[in-house]
Amino acid sequence: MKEKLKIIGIIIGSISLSMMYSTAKGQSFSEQIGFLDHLRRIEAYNEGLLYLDTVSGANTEGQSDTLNYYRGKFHYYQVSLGPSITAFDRVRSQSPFFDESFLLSSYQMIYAGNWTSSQSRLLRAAERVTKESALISTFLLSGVYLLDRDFVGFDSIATDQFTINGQLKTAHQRLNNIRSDITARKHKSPFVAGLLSTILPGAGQMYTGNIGQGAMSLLTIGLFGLQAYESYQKDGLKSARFILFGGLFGGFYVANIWGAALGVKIERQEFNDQVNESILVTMHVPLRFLYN
Amino acid sequence: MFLLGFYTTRGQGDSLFQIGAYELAAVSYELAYFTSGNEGALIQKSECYKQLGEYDQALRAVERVNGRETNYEQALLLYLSVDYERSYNKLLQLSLQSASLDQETAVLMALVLIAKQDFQEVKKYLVTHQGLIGLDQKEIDLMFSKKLKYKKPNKAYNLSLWMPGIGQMYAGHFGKGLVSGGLVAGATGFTLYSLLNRYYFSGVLTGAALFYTFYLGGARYAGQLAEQKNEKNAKALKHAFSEGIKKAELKVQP
Repeated sequence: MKEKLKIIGIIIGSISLSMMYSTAKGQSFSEQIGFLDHLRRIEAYNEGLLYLDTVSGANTEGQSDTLNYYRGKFHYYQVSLGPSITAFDRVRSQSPFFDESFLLSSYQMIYAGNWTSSQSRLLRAAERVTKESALISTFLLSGVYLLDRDFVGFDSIATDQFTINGQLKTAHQRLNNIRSDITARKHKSPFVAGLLSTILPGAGQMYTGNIGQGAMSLLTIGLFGLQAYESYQKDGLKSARFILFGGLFGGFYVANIWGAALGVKIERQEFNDQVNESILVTMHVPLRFLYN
Repeated sequence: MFLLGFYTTRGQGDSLFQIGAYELAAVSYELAYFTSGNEGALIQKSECYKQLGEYDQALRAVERVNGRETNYEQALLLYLSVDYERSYNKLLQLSLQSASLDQETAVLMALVLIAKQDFQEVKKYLVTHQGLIGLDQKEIDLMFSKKLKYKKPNKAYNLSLWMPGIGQMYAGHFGKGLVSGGLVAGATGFTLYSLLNRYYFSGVLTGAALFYTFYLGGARYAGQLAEQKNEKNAKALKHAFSEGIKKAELKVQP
């Protein structure tokens, strides 16, 4: 049954595609591009991609570059990184759409976390793109260095070359500020946090900067401690009451020390994620300004 | 030339629509609109997205129609995408613009009011427009035989703060109110008992924690119960209303 349905689906799908294909064929290439631009204006990216499936009949390599550029762009708007990179990278360097395709594809590679390969292509960018685009490539490269926390690489890129482009100048200045934030951040040790929480429950959390969390820990553990003390005073060491509250106190006390040490690591991770997010956003700003 | 293009692509959209290839049909209709400027194609396009259940896309297509008024279509799509407030506003606009109301619009308005859980307003509306909708007074009375009233979640919450358990009773759950009240009383009892036996720390701290949990938790629960009650009532009313409409349609077509 399932097989049959699948076959019917494939038949209907191919009939409908061929029907659409004949529609697209009735149009000239410039009409097709006009329609694609229209779809871009109304932000119907999915429709654009469906339409592109039906206009595979590019006559020249130049036309095929144009269609790949549109495919890459529609996927880029939909934030589907992989398909967008693939389509953009098919655009040949002779095409007027090459520079934009190259830069947007490089940015998306960086966004996807593929720093090493994007770095190597950005380093060779000057041979392939115009002078202006090469400057943007250099800017993207400085962002990759910063993501990699390669300060030597970052500092090797001269700041004054960006002064000719206001957008790039501001964005690079922002990257410089992020760089100072990273280096200014004090290194905190999980051992110290654990030790502090051993001496006073919650102190480790406060050391990491989570004042509220530290206060709550101190309060909870303090309350269990007081109740444990009370039951010890009134009922003695072997009473059920003392075992309950003493156990709770001990459990929370130990867990809190472990939590303080782990908190430092989580904090560090969160800081790095946040910094990387701002770097990526900053890198995107000039691209959006230029190409949207 | 353009006219020809329009007819072929619009026809294409229709054939694609017929075989259920709604996504491609939508593109075809968009192309038809692009080449001819005929806004009818946008309405067809929105129909494609309606079939796909993508109501916001359908709405975007309808919103681009300028040549004629599309408040009804927009209100329907907003209702389907569970945005009752905006749907209600569209219908209000519609009733202000046109002097006479049609049955479709009146039915949709009733459904929106039910979804908004404004039960008093639903009854008033049905009574006023019963002829248009095709219901008679007896059927309306039957729908409202159980007294339907909107239960305010906030009121339920506040009632339970004032006297634990009362909010649940207001929301229509007498038993749950008793249990909640009992739990708070129990926590209070435990605190007093501990204090009398000179367990000061346990009395104050654990007793307070229990009291706090049951007291505030109970109030929040009362608010949730009120919301659930409203949803249940709206669902039952919608069902009764749909049945009434079906009967009315049968009467029209003997």
